[in-house]
Amino acid sequence: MFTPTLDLLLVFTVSMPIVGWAALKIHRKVLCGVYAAAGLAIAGVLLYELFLEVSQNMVISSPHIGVFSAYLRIDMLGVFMAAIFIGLGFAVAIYSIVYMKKETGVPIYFTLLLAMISGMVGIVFAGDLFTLYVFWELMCVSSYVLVAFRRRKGESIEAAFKYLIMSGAGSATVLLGMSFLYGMSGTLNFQGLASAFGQAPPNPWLYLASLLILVGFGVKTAIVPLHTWLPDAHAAAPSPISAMLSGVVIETGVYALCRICFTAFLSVQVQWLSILMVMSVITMVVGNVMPLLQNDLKRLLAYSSIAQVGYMLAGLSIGTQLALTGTFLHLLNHALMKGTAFLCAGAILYTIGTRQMDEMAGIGRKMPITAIAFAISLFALTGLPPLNGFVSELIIVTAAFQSNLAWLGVAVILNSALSAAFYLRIVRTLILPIKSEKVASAREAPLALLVPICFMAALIILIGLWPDPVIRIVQQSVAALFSFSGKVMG
Amino acid sequence: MITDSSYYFAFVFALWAIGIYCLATKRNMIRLIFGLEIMINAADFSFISLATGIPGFVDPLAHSIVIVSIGLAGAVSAVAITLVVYAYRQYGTLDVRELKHLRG
Amino acid sequence: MRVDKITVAGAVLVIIVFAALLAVIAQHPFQTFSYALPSDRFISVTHDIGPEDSRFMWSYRSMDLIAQAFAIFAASAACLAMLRSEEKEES
Repeated sequence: MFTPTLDLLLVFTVSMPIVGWAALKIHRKVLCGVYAAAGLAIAGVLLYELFLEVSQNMVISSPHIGVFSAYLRIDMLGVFMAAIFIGLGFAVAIYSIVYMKKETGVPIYFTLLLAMISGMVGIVFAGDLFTLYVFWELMCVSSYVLVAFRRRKGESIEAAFKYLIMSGAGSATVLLGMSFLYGMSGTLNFQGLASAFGQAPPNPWLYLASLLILVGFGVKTAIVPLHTWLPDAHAAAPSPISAMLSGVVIETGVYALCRICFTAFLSVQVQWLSILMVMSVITMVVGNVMPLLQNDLKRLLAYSSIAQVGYMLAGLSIGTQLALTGTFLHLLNHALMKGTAFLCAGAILYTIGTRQMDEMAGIGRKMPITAIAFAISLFALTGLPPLNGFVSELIIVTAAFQSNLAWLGVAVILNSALSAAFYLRIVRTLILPIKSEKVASAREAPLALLVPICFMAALIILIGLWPDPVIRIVQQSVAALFSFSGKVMG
Repeated sequence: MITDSSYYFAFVFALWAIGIYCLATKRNMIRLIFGLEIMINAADFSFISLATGIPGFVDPLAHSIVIVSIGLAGAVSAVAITLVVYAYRQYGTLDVRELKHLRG
Repeated sequence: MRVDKITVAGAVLVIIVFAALLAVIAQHPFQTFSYALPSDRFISVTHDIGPEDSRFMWSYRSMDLIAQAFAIFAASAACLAMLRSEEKEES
């Protein structure tokens, strides 16, 4: 049907409710999570085989080939991003086994989690803009209810509804922009769009279509005037889902913008990238200033996701191969760093039951492993040298200076420095003297919560010290992204 | 120059603008869902009007896109209305501004 | 009649955007399929469009239809998650 990886994820999605019902009948709720994690592990193995195949040449999976048929076009970029999604999903599935133990409806939770991951893998494998849209809706529909999963609290319902309305409006706007692209070129296939619009003179309808698609995907990517759903949704969701949303769901928006920019909008690229440059600087600044006023730990981390997306967009808006290498490497690093940070915040929330930072003073003394992993991820988010955030930000800043866009590089550096203010504030909160009763009686988090956290923190340090294999894969991915246009920029 | 297709596009933009107006100003949750549906219908109408680009022929690609889009719009509306039903059962209100006050 | 400020602001903004879009339409006509490559998939209006449309859809866009089926499955799982019944916990 599709490729083995996507097929397997969809089969596990559909069979999870049956396994969950059987697991509840024999009173072993743990089996749901174990089944989901096993499915993701097998999907990871199949993805590795796909990676070996794609290293030779691109894989196309389709019943027919033509400029108007739907097919999956799997290149190195798709495999790289699918690896990020399945990896983070596997960590989140293991984490959720213990975290969601006390909730009802655990089988449905894992069904929706697997559906969301399948949708994301489908997005990066899609070769056609409409196939991307259908898998995008699959991902979005599962994420709306995962935000509202803890439905007793008022903030979850309000956050989920606001997220649904804004994200749905964004999808409708993307569909309208796609209709204009279709009207001009007769196809929605990436290869067809690139060959139709590659040499085309810019046309006001092309500008209008690009504006609509930028706004539509920008709602999901949380570009600044359209970001207001993000702090509420990421704070109200259960912590493993916050890690998924902040870590990878936002990044599918960045991926979609990259794909569109380098296929359909080749002729209007210069104007489009300049607008994107300005918006990325505004996004960075807002994302770094708002958390200074926050007291709620998860809201602070959610605002910082907006700033990190601003760095990725800055890399995209420079447009050279080096800058895009930085963007995609930052995609991987941000998934690891922000995932670890949210999972640690979830462990703290699981132990003491509050998200307010002034009530959790000194928690690091009682939960040392969690606190060390949290500190590692926060230092990486700031961009300190031996960790992985530094490598990707360095590549983006170098690319900015190489393309005579020094102001953008300086903006990225200043924003990194500004972000240290609130990241270090969290580290300070962890090591203050203990003040409250709840913290004094806290113990270290359970093992199933610690294993994903420690593994991801170890990966952060490893990629920071030895980024070469990863950078090589990212460079191949960027070459695959540019392969539509035929001309290589710098 | 105003061609025949200009009237179709004027209608598409009018529908889209009405959808944006509903989303921006209405308070009742069900009216917000209606606004979302109106926007999706505007995009579908645009696809259908472009399917007849070449006189005497019809493009089945546009029709396929619209059929799948209608199904997906139904799925999103179902999830949205389920959220509204649960919110009404739990809190007794359909007003988004009331829900925001519950957040505290 | 009590006039809500948000309604007025929203209406003004939307009318401005709509007027701008109408200006674009009036000055630049849309050349349909101007960048398109020729293709043989078009159906003549003299034929029966329904069955031919469905034949095209199932032979060329089957991937979208199957993905849509999974999206509807996810939507039904989502509705079940929202309206699930809270039974007492069994350890």
